[in-house]
Amino acid sequence: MSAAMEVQPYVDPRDRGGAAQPMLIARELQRYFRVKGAGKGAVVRAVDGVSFTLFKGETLGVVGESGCGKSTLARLLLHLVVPDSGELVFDGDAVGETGGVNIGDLRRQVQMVFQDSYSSLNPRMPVQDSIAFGPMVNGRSKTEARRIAHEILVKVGLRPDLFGPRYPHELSGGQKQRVNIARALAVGPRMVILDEAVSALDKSVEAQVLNLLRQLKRTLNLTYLFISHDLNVVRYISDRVLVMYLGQVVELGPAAEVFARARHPYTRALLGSRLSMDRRVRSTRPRAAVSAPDARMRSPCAKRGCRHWDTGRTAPPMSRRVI
Amino acid sequence: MNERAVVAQGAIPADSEVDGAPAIRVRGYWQSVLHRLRYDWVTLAFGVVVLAIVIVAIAAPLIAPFDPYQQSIVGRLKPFGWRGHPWGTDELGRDMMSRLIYGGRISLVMGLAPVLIATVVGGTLGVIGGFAGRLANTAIMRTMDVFYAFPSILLAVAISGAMGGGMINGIISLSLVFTPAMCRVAETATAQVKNLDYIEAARASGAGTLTIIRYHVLGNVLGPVFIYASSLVSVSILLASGLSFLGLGVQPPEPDWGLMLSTLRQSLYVDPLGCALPGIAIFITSICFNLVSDGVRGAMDVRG
Repeated sequence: MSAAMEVQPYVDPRDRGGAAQPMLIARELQRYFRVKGAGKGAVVRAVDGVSFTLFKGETLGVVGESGCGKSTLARLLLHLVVPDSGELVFDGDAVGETGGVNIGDLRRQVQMVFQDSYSSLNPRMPVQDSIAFGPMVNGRSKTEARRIAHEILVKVGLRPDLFGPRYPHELSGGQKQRVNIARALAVGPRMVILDEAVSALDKSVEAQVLNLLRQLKRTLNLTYLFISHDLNVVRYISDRVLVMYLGQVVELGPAAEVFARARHPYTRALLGSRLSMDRRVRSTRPRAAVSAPDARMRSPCAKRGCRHWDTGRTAPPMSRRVI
Repeated sequence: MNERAVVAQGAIPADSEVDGAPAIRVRGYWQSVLHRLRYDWVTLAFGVVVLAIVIVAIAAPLIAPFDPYQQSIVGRLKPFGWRGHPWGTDELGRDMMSRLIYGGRISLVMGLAPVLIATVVGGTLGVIGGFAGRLANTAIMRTMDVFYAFPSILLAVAISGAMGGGMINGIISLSLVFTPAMCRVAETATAQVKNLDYIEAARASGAGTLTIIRYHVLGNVLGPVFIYASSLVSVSILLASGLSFLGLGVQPPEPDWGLMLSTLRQSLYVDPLGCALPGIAIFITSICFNLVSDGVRGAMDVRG
């Protein structure tokens, strides 16, 4: 299950670094947000020195509870939010620096699927136009863009003649999310960031969309960064898993290993909160002693290097990051 | 409203599965708005009245029985039906009906022109203010707030008073009165849309700011702006009449309703019914525009 073995032979003409070159390397990415009305200099450490490597053809799951900086991380990778500091290397080229890959090129190769399938589609636009928008701003003619949109709709399992002219409010949640995936794929990306892409769907639809994602990954040679708070989903789709807590990476490793032998107390707490059909795994009372993360707060034990607030009861101080 | 909701549901094709679903007629946004309006009898009825007023105003030379400027010393303030004048004559012996018909032209222009100008100017500023950064937003919106500080009638009177009377100056002053409110509506709508994921998605697919505004923002801002503009028309007619009444808008001998009301006021005890006619015209026109705008707002408000 190790990532290196998962790498498929690559034939993408845009590939520069070769199969061994990671798709994306993030090093010490950092982004703080100022907090209004919380005193001078109060900041949310949304993403606080995150480093990881995303190999070509793999699916890296990113887990962590809400507010831990997952979505900010996704936006940093696309430069939708500009990082305060840190380095981003896409296929061997530094992002946004002279001699490297510029933001426009990056965005043609990395696309994103958003969580809220309602607000992520223009309510006044037929979905085929929403999908065709990407190719159109990238220089395709209107008819060509429309043709691409229809092709992609077929790929995500929607009949173009039936669903293309519809408006978002005329689609179900699952159909909307398929359209969202189509919209991301229309630009022809090599890497797709899925930010809670299936979280808002009910379980049966979620499974359908997950399988669609796996199949698309195979046929289109995609690399996924799969962000979710749902551990079971992440386990199902990911090759490797990255656990975030309060803007930092607390654990990163092959999915099976992280799920079987979590080394960091936070990961264990997170795993303990998961729903399961298995009696042995399932917990009947909350095992997590971790309170909801509020990145504004500095924990009283921060001096000891612990990032927990109010966990004196159970969790040992987390003085080191386990990676 | 309930009835409307049911109709709206009918407009939305039932959810269907991926394949094998029967082809359903898909309605566009404006089509579904029209569809909803078709069942709204109140709005339709008042729409017909508005349409009639507009047609009468446009075709005034064909419809008016007399020359609205033709004075008569002997035929002043005559009652209804006097010598073929269906609604009598005014204080200078001019035919009331003809003057009211011609007055509709001026009232409609004064009702629509300022709103149109304010929509274009205020709308543009609002979209810029909503989409641009904090600095541009502050610059635009705080400037607008200065105008907000004055009550609208006072502001219109002040501007008209400073620039002098006349129709053009009246239109300019009313436009200035409406622009800040319009700007605010557009700014709010833009700011709401700006933070939605599909704008982010559009940016992620490499689109520039102008392209995003053109394809993704304008369509969503137009709705609220249009609704607000339609409700301003009646206000504008009223304010324009008020300006004319005060002698700051249209100048005599133009047959403006507000101006007629002002000059006929002196004859209130001689010919009360005749005096009331311009007021009735203002009332009917503005209330019809208002109710139609209400109906359109209701029809446009359904989103999902």
